[in-house]
Amino acid sequence: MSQPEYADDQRTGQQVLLEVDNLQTAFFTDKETIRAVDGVSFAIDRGESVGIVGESGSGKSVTARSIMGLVETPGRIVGGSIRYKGEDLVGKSDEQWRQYRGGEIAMVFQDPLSSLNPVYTIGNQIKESLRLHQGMRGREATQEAINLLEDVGIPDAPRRLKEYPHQFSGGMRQRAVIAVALACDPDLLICDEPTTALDVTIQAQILELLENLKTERDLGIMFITHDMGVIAEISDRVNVMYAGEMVESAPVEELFANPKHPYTEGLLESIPSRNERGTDLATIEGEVPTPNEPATYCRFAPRCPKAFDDCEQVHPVQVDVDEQTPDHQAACLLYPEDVPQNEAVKLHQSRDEQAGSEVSE
Amino acid sequence: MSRWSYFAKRLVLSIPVILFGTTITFFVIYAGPIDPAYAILGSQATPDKVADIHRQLGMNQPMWEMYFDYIVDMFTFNLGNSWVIRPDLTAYEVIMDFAPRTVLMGAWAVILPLFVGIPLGFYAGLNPNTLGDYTASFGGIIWRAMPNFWLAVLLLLVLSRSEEFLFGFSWESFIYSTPVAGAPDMENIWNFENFLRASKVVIPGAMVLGSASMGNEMRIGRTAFLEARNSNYVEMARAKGLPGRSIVWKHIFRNALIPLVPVITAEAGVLVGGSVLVETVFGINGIGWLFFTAMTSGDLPLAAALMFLFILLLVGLNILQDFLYTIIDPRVGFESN
Repeated sequence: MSQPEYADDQRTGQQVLLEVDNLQTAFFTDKETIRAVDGVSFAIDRGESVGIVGESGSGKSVTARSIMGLVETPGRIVGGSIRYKGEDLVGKSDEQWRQYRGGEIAMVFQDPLSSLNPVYTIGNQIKESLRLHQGMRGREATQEAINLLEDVGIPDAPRRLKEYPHQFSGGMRQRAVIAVALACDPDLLICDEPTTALDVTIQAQILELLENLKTERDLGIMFITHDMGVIAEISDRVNVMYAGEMVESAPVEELFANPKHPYTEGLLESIPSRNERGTDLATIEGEVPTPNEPATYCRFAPRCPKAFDDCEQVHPVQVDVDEQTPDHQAACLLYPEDVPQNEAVKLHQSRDEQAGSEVSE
Repeated sequence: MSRWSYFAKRLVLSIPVILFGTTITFFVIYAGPIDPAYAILGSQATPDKVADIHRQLGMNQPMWEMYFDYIVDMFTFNLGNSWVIRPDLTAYEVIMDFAPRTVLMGAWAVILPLFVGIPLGFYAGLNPNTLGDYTASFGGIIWRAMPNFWLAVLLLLVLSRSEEFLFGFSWESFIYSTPVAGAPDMENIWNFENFLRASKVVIPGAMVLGSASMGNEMRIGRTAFLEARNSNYVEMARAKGLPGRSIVWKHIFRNALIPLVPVITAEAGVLVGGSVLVETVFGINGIGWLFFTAMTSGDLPLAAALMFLFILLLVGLNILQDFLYTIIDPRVGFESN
């Protein structure tokens, strides 16, 4: 599925498509400041699919909206950078950011039933994108819209073009939403739980469709989900989020074979199909805390089966889990694995202080 | 079922509704306790004269015969003669004499809230929780809470002594010199100056009549625009990179109109009832005043004819509502299996 060699070539040879570095997005309410995204970093290449996985409230969707510049007040990006094709998007005005939406970065939303405007035909909504981003009008646009519908696997496209969203089934609507996004001709596609609202069989079809589109169009895909099974299916690389932070990042096969962070282990153990019939399904006790203060400790510690005293004192940063697998990082005091425990803790401590002083500068 | 066959079905269904309403009207008016003979004769009523009048007016016929005559007359727009108010004229002529003033006032009473209430709601919904939103919402609630009869008296009081209350501003001599209350002159209404002059006379009444609608349209408009603004399809439209103007006018506006349509048409229906009161307070001799007088003085054909016209108006408004729905919302008439 993944091609690490190819990806490495790209990384050294040319610019990375999207590079998010230490992104921080916070929501300011009268009561508290919620750090929904608190220092998230990852990168996406052309033709690469990067998964972001985590429970509800872990900050996945806010990360996506931050990249789109669609974070609404009282939320805003407070730090870090989002470099798209080398250009930093953070700090751009809404009007400047609009130039990137659709044509460069398009988004497929979670709920296909409400993502399409109910009072316009599917064709109208696809052609709107075509006109805006590719300057197509009239017959040319209609033909291109038909092609797009066929590309996303909607049969009888010329007739379906004239139909309204309520005349489409759920799976067909999600295909139409993808067609609308593709009509913008983006280089990066952000999929925010695109299969969550769909039947399992339809889910598989949509995943296959996205996989094909990725190869055909050389798209970078950022795939957000809470479903580990879907992540295994679609991603080349997986980032695990917890309470606004990235806790583990690894190529998909590595992550499923050798999960390092106790949270990732917990997530994998709670997949029904991976467990034997008759045994109780493992769960992670408790729930995701609301990140309403700067992290000076490990946010997962209260729920962590492997927590020790230092977890309450030291904020873990992303480190390589060991020297043999440089592509695998985890933010946990237990790592690097090949260093003694107290040295690892010190490493985290000094790196966290360094990061803290960088931000305050 | 397609949108247009749904609309056609509604159109056909309106015929039995009109028939039913007209039937009820007949029984309420002709089988009711009002005897026009006493209204015509006044204090000179004797049993002989009453029977004489009954014979002249055809009221000694069997009820079913009167009923069929009435229904046929109404559906062929043969509205009969006025018995009491203007015995020399047909009901049609009397109505045409009084109607223009009400139509003018009613039009202003629909247009004012439409062009003030909805834009205010629009603004408030697109800028929620700002000072402008709070001001508009607060104003809408107050405006909505003022009862017609109270507002009418208050407005009359303020306008008739406007120099005192409005810092020297004189309503009577504003633009044209007109009386504060009274019937507008409807001669040559298509002349622009005459139109303005007549409008100025009916506008205080129209404001009172439209006050509740304006508050309603503002409140519901705010909710509708706010809801559309926060919907997923608007977020998707933004993610497409559409400019703000086309998001507001293409994606928000049309969806926000859907819940507003029944509010607008329902308010237009309320005007018919409200005009009786407002026309009385402001002394505008219109349809409302005519209907009230016809009922109290026993002018049965005139009252029945007016009722029939009101029924047509309300059914017409409902059809208009369905028509607007059919145009705006493609989901109309859609039945999922």
